[in-house]
Amino acid sequence: MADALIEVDDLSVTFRSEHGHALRAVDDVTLRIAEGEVLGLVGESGCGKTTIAKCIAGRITPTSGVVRFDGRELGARRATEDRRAIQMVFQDPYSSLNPRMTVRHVLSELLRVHGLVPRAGIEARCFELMALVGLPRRALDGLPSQFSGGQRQRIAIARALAVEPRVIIADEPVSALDVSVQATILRLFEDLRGRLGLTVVFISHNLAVVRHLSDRIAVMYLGRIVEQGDRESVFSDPRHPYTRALLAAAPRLHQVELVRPMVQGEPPSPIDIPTGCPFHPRCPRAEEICTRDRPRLERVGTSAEHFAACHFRDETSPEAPEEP
Amino acid sequence: MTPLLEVEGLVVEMRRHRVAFHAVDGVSFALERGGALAIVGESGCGKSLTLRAIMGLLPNRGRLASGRVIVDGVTLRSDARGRGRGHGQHRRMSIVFQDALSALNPVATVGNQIAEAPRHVLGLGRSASRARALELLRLVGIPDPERRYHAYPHELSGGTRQRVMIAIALSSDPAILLCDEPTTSLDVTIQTQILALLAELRSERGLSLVFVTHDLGVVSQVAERVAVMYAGRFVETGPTGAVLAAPRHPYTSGLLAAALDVDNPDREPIAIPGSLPDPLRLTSGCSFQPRCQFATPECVTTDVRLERVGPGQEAACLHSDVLSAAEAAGRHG
Repeated sequence: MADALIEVDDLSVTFRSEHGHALRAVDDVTLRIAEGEVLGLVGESGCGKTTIAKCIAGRITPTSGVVRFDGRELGARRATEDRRAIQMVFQDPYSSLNPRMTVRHVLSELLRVHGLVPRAGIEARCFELMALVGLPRRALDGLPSQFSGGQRQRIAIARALAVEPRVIIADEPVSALDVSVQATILRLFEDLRGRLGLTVVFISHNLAVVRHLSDRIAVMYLGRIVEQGDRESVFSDPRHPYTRALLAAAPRLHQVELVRPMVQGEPPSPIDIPTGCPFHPRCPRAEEICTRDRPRLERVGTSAEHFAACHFRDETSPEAPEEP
Repeated sequence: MTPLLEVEGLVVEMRRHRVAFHAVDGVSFALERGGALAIVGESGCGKSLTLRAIMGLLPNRGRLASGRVIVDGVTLRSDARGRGRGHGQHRRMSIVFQDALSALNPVATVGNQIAEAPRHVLGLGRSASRARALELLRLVGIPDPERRYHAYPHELSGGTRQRVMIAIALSSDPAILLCDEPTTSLDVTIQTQILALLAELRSERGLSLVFVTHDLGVVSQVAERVAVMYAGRFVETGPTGAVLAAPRHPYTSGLLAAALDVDNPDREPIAIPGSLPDPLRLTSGCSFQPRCQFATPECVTTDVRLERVGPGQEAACLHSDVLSAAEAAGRHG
């Protein structure tokens, strides 16, 4: 990828637990995000996807590695302009909005502090932001508690958009919403990307959501990217056994038979990461080599952009891909 | 043969700002021995309250206004809260909650929590109840039960805690397991393990299940019958395959259209317009009518009831025929 907007190189984040144990939340991750694309970051709880997001947004300082934006390295202390360029939207729109501030208050304060529009233009810009996220003007006078979950998420998105970012990092933005409103928020993301040319990093544990929205996918396990590639390669020709297990376990409406669990056990503690391939204790394909050698991300398949970190990455899926 | 569990006209009254409303409004169903029913609906539809009312665990703001719960032909006695069922038939049911961490006792070892019912309810001796707890830990698939017996809930992972919850639920040897979103807070690879465990318990021990979930994607894996709940009522019930393939209530078909399909990423999900009705302002007629594309003036005035629409399938909609015609046209068009 020639013109990456965000470049993440050899990023590692180690936290200290209260007992002094080192917890490797993110382990040597390299990632490219092109301008205008939607990157889906998937993985189960504790895999490090939120930590990566926070490093990109400048909320966490990485232990090692660099984050570059538009070719410039972003350090621990960022210029206001750089902070504004990358905004986050969180899972829980109930706790991420100040319950005592009206929507108008939240938005106009941001606009004033950042001096993005002249004072006289604040009102008009607020109307514009409401229209952008599909809320009526009168919503400006409401408090967060007066809105439904879906509406609150729209408000959170309007707040992120107020500072005119180039990148939005959305951390499980539809996970707390009911199915019947999820679709409207997903469409809003598609719409915003089309209209504003936003670059989106979309974090989710829900494969259906990620597949629907993303151009490219990165699958994480225990702090590492185990597979990445364009959406179709990853979903129709998954090469890492963990990706396959995730796909098999994804809930399906017309799944008549019970899904046989492909992997046993649970992810090990990130304080005590297994040697070799971190997935080997749960992997149905694991052999002796997997306990010793840590596989690196290597190119697989026919796509130039498809990588997997598995010693057996050249084996295609053991089961024929499911036909709907 | 009488069904194992019969629920008749369950009405749960809740209070908000001193105003009472029916959060569960006339729910009835029967569960055969060894059968499984999934109750599916969005937040606030009353699915969890239904389960709590059956179990006799309504919150303080709630009151069982009317309805009966019959287990094996015997009506459970209870006060208005649904409480006071500590004996007899009540023991035939156990409940598993979504959040195992807050449902478990943080200061007791999981072994002692599992051994409690065998010792105090079934009246086994100390060593017999301990042996029973170990057996249950093994049954729910926890490796190294002797060591895990002495663990505290916070030392266990989410999946293992949910297995412990299931072991506790099974410890009084129930015939019916009531499950309130038991896999919602778990990762998908762990979810498949727990669903497989529940299926195993059904086939090997003849356990009956009532499984409450918001996720249509797990319904067909856990139950052969499904009830779709909206604003306190069942709006459609039937064999899971039939309901998901050919829904006859607009809410069911709306939920299906709103859901994403991991195998079919280019199908645009369609949201249901509007939002849940305020339970304090429920009007007469169909409560889904304000959001329904098929609604007619009749829907506002007529009180809809579940009517038979197919083999074993019922829907509470005046226009269930229109929907089946529209679906058929959509499929062939």
